Amino acid sequence: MECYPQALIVAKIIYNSFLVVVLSLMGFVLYSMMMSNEIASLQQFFVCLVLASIGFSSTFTLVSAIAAKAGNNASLMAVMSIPLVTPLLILVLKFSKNAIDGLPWSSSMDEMIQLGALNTLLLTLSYILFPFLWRS
Amino acid sequence: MLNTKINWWKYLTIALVIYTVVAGLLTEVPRLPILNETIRNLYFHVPMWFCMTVLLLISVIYSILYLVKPEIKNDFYAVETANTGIFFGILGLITGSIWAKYTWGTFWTSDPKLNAAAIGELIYIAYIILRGSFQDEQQRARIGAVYNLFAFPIFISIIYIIPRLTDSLHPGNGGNPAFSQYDLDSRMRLVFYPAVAGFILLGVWFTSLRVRLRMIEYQIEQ
Repeated sequence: MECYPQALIVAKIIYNSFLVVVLSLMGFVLYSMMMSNEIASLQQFFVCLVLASIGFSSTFTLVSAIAAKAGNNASLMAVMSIPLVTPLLILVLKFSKNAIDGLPWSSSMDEMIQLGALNTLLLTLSYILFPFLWRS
Repeated sequence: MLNTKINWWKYLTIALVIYTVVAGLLTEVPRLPILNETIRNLYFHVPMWFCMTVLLLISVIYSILYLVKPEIKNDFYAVETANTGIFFGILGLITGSIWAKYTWGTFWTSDPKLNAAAIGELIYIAYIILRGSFQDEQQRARIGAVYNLFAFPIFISIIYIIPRLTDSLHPGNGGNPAFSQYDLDSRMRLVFYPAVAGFILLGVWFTSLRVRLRMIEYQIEQ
């Protein structure tokens, strides 16, 4: 059977995004039960969650593929991925702060567009670069 | 045959860097409050970052070349331009830090631009660490090229895009005036542009020396 590396990376990114969304929803429910729910705009918060999950999972999937090639070194994974996710983290922090404060959608539009652009960039890079990792 | 001829662009580099140091410290600069004489840092600090960005761009181009055509020479160029880029980035951090001491009153604040610069350095230090963890030469070169290609757009977004979208003290970011607003009579451009060209050429020169050293070591090993 023929195997396309692109199919593998896309499948892994979809699976990981789903996993991250489920995990963060579980975290959200737990926190809401133990503390009070302070989030003013739930819809915005969930959009932020989904966008963040896609971005994180596409970065981490490619970085873990790189780390796996380097002998599955756990510290290497952390060293590589922490600087790489910071732009994503900064945007997500701003967006979720807006959601918690319950600002209107128009004030978070910039962050949403930027997150979308960054996610597109990360997904495209992972899609293009993964076949080169796979080839050996 | 021993090649002892110095290329013309190396003479140009020497001339430009000497001109930058002499003219940068002696020519007239606009008198501005707070900034005063520290505005001269524009001739040294800003070209460091331009040089780093150009070198890292060259590094990415060589990484693409390596992925298209796996020759060890392309990998040597990719890693050595990244090394020189890191070196110029550290110089940029030091010159910026000294400038901040005299204008903001502290060597380091948790400003978005400053943190972004530090994280940008970390991205490339991780590149060097990643390369160090491979035994096989071709594996190291290919995986390194993949990481380099993935890291460069993120580096650009974190160092040039994100700080512009947030509140930052740094000139040119967060709505602060940049060099073009300070420089009303364009006198500073006469030193600034040669400085940028000079430091970029100096970076290319460093890199070419390091690549030649690597090639010699590689040929001795073979």
